[in-house]
Amino acid sequence: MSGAERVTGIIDIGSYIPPARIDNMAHAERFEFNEAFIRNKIGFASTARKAADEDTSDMAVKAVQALQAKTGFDLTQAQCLVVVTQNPDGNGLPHTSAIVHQKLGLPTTCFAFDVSLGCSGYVAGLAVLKGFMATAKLTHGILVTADPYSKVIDEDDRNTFLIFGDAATATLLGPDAAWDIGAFDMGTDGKAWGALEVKPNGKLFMNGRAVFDFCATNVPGSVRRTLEANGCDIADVDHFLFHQGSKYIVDTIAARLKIGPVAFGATEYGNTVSSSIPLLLEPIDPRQAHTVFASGFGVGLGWASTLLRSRHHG
Amino acid sequence: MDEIISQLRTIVGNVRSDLDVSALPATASLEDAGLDSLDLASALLEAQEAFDVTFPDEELGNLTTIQTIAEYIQANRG
Repeated sequence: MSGAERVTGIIDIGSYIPPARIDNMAHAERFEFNEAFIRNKIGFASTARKAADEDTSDMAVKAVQALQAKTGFDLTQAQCLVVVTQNPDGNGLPHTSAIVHQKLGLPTTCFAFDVSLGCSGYVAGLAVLKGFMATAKLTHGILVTADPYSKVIDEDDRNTFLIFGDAATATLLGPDAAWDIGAFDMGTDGKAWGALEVKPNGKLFMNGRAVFDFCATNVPGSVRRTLEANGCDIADVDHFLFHQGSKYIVDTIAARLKIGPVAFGATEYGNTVSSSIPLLLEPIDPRQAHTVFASGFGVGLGWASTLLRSRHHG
Repeated sequence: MDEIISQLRTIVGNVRSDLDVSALPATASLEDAGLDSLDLASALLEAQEAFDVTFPDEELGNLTTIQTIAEYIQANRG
């Protein structure tokens, strides 16, 4: 591997999950779900909710501050900032990353832009930022995910209210990284974009069956292609990090791949869209794990998968 | 038709291995038999793949028994 290819990897991750929770069990009766279904199939006992006066950029700032506290990274060294969101501050102009840039007091030499993606956004964002940094010859960049669906959730919609939670993450990319970012597999089925959209009334709509079919049909193939592209076998993977859409979809994908139970860590805070994978990756110790698989899938409908390898193991 | 119904029983049994579907009448409601909405989504997906058909959303209200699913497959399979 050349020096240039080794430059950009994942150094560390910081996160922010708002402390407030919606107790899903308190809503079981009005949505005519039994508690076992919520716990074992949907998989979210509660979902995180940002404060009413907290905006997307505020959550992003808190995630970056958490990253800074963990790593001691000097923010004046940040050369680019990417915010993955489809629920930006205001009306999306200016881009939320510019507002985060101002709130963090980043230097003018740090270029900021948003990426409009949902559940595939973290993995796709890794590809975007890694490629951007290589092209622009940058050493340090920050990838933020902050997509609070509480801005668009319909509180009376049984298909979405018990699923989506708010959270933000910040990933520092650069040299001396913990994780190498491997080859990617990505795809979009634009014919199905209407299965997950914000309607003209400003409320989120989800055709759960269409999203389920898309994920169950496409993700296992993406897993196999990604592993092949990285010269890796299923047995070599220490952790499979699948987007936490619901426990049922994660279990279904695992069953179709015949890989046994895989991590479902979002029980207490919900489906946090592009933040779900970095929230799972953050606590994994790269000195213990060698290989981590990550796949995000949903809005678009689309998917993005990659393989991360710990640099601690050569 | 009998072969389709037999395959559908296998699919439903695989989705919910804790249920005995061998004695389930083809005309019985799958929901009443114990399948929840996600089980049914899984069974329909498996059936789509097995029989090379697509169940449109507007048909879902009718696809509630093995019999009605089999009839749709019989009429629409490639």
